[in-house]
Amino acid sequence: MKGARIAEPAARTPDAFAALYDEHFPAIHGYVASRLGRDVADDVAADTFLIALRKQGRYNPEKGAIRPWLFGIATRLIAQHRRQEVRRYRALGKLGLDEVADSHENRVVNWVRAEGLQPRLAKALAALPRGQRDVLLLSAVCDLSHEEIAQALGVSYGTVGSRLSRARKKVRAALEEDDHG
Amino acid sequence: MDDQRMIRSFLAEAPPSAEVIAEGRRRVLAQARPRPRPRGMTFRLSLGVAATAAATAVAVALSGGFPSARTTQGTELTARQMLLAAAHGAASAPAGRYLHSHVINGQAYHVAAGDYVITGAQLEIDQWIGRTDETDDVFRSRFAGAQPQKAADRAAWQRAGSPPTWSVLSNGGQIQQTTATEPWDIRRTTPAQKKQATAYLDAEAKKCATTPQTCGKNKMLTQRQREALADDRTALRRELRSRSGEGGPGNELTRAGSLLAQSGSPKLNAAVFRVLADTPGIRNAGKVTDTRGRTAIALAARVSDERGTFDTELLLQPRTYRVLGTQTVLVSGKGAETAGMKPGTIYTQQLFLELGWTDSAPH
Repeated sequence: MKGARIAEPAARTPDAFAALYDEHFPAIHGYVASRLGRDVADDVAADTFLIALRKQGRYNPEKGAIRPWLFGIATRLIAQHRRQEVRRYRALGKLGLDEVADSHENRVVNWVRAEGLQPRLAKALAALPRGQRDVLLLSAVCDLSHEEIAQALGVSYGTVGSRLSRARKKVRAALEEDDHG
Repeated sequence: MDDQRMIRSFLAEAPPSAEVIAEGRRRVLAQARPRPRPRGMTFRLSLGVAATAAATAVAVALSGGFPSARTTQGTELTARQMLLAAAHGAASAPAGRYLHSHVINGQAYHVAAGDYVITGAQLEIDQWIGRTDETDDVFRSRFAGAQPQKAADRAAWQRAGSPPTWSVLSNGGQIQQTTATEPWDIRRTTPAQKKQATAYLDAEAKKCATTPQTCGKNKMLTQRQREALADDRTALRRELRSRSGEGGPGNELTRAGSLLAQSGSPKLNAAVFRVLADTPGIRNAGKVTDTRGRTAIALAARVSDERGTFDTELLLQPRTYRVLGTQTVLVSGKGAETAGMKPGTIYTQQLFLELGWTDSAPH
């Protein structure tokens, strides 16, 4: 588990902050890019670390590890780009296979299997209440545990579980609808 | 198919490019300047420290490992003899008011249209760090323009019509590279700001000494901690090794290069060379030419990662054994990032254009 070894106090020196940046930037960028696209992610991921730097004094190691703390900051920044997020899902829903292949080779493999489902998936994600979408994507995209998601979002463990199961149920229902459903 | 995996592949994007990572780091660390805070202790650091951290981090990020197709010229000194000579030279280097370090990083990219290699992502950091807190630090940085790497690459580029920009593959995505050089971004740190930073770092070190849970596990060293290593060979060796992870002597060379690029005393630099002299697996790879056209003696160790096999080289100036930088040279590529590159391509570099003590004030 990548997060397990990061359970350490916040980086208190500039050098240590650079190390923290190097360790976590790619994962934070990946998360933001999933929700807002790559271009917006460049800025939002960097902003996440700027905020982390400013808030270092308020980071409390007893409340959890650095990784969920950073994902929590990123999630709050993403919330400020709601329209961009919905636009992205809509665009992804319309993407043809060629465009997908062009942008990221790996996607095709999984994609072909899911052929035809992208508009439904996009619509289902866009329609989720924000709290449920945060939990679902932290779990599905970033592979955070329930415990880490609870720390990231500042909600209880139980809330994570119930939001996640509700969100997954809606997504599955959308995928299983028949074409005219 | 599992719905969570489907969501992940549906939303997946290519990872950030090295440039995006470097640019973000530059932005973040530029903000980490001393600044008054309403209450309590704030996170303060001198720009010099930030810059060094940035330079080091970039160097680490860009350096995988590298191999060389060249054979060792047996006529010269062994790597060990050379490192001991470098140690001797470093110990007698004079100290001045400022450590001037001018470093340029870079990475090779293959241009498919025309089949040649350019050196891009050339983040250039030029800084004067005052030896004491009484002197200003000056820090400037920019991305220098990309250019074809070797003569054959230049010829191929000209045959292709000398395009001034390129779209190349980086970390799974396409990025733009240009021949144009950015203007310098200049920042200064005043003596007052440096004192704040020093006081802050000292307080943190004290807190860490008495309350160990406040120290980070993977923390990079402060200048004072680094200097303490000059008198403790075992700790210095541990530092070079622990930072080098599983990469072996190759990464140890890269790590040593980064340490030598920081504001170390002549004594610390000499100690770094002595530790390397005792590291097995480093060989004298003979004379090489870096991407700036400088002749250097390369001390090399072989490293492999997911992009291929490389020789990591520490470059020393002939005769004086001053350190000129580190680079990784492709031995055999693997995967998309090194596709189309020939053995001998300089895959990443961290070159020291200037590195030494000076009394002259920063411009």
